[in-house]
Amino acid sequence: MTEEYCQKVRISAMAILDGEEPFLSAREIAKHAETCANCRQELEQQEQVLGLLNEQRRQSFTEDVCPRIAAAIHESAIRQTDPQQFCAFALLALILLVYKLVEVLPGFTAGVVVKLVPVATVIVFFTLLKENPIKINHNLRLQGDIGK
Amino acid sequence: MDDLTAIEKCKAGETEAFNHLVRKYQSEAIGHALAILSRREDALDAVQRAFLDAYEALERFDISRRFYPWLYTILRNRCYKILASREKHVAMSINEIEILAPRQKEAAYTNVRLVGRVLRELSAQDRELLTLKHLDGLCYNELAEQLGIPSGTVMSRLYYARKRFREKLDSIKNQANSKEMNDD
Repeated sequence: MTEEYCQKVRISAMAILDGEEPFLSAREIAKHAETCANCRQELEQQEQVLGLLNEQRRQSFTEDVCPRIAAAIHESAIRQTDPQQFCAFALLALILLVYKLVEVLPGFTAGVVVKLVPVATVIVFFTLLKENPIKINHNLRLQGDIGK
Repeated sequence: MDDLTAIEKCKAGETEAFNHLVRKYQSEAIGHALAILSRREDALDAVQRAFLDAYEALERFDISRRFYPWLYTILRNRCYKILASREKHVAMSINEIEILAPRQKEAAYTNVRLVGRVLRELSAQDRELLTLKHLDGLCYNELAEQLGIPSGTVMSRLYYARKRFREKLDSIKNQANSKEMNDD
């Protein structure tokens, strides 16, 4: 018998002990175990471990995280609807738009310093707003992906 | 109030309805987070963040699904992120885990301590799988749903997790025996 078949026997025996659908039938497992001492020993050990694990109970917890979560939800709602932040971003957009309009004026030649104005403006804004513009939101998912 | 009603109310803007879901599942969620993270403060942090993530993603929740398996997926992602950042920065103290409930009888209590110690020494993945299977009594299909893997993979992972559990158990017993012999 190959090692692969022995593995199949052991996994199937585990599935039977767990009350699940095995790859091999109980008869096939028993037939193999008659001739394979290693598998016989393994099956006995599986039963012992299963008995030990099944008699355990999970610790119950009494902590109430409700107030912490309610506070976090409240904070998140404020952050999302902060009108001051909206105004700040609107102002930033306006400044950048004005810069772009000036830049396309005929006869306007910008030096390196002037070209760095938009970058500097953005940096100053995000610094003042205490926001990280390159923060990756790990919670973003395509519609329907969450929980998959 | 059932879960669906609470979810519908949350979607309609009644944030208090979310408290119902938090109260109903917080104990289970803390236990699950603790099984992965082994540290109470980290577990509470993961649970808080997972509930917040769930609240923010509630609009996209598929109402044909059960709430807890969906929350569990979010929670375990949070736990493994915390675990990854912790492994980089902090050496974990393995004495902070309290997954198993204590028992009255001496023999049962000895087993609880022994199993607890073996679980602590396993990887977070093995510990998660074994506790979901044996402490929550999930079947292979439920494990597959909760972990987002096929049930065939559940079988092989469970087999190897139990094998590693047995090896650790033997090694701890051998250590204890050799210590006893040395003491004598």
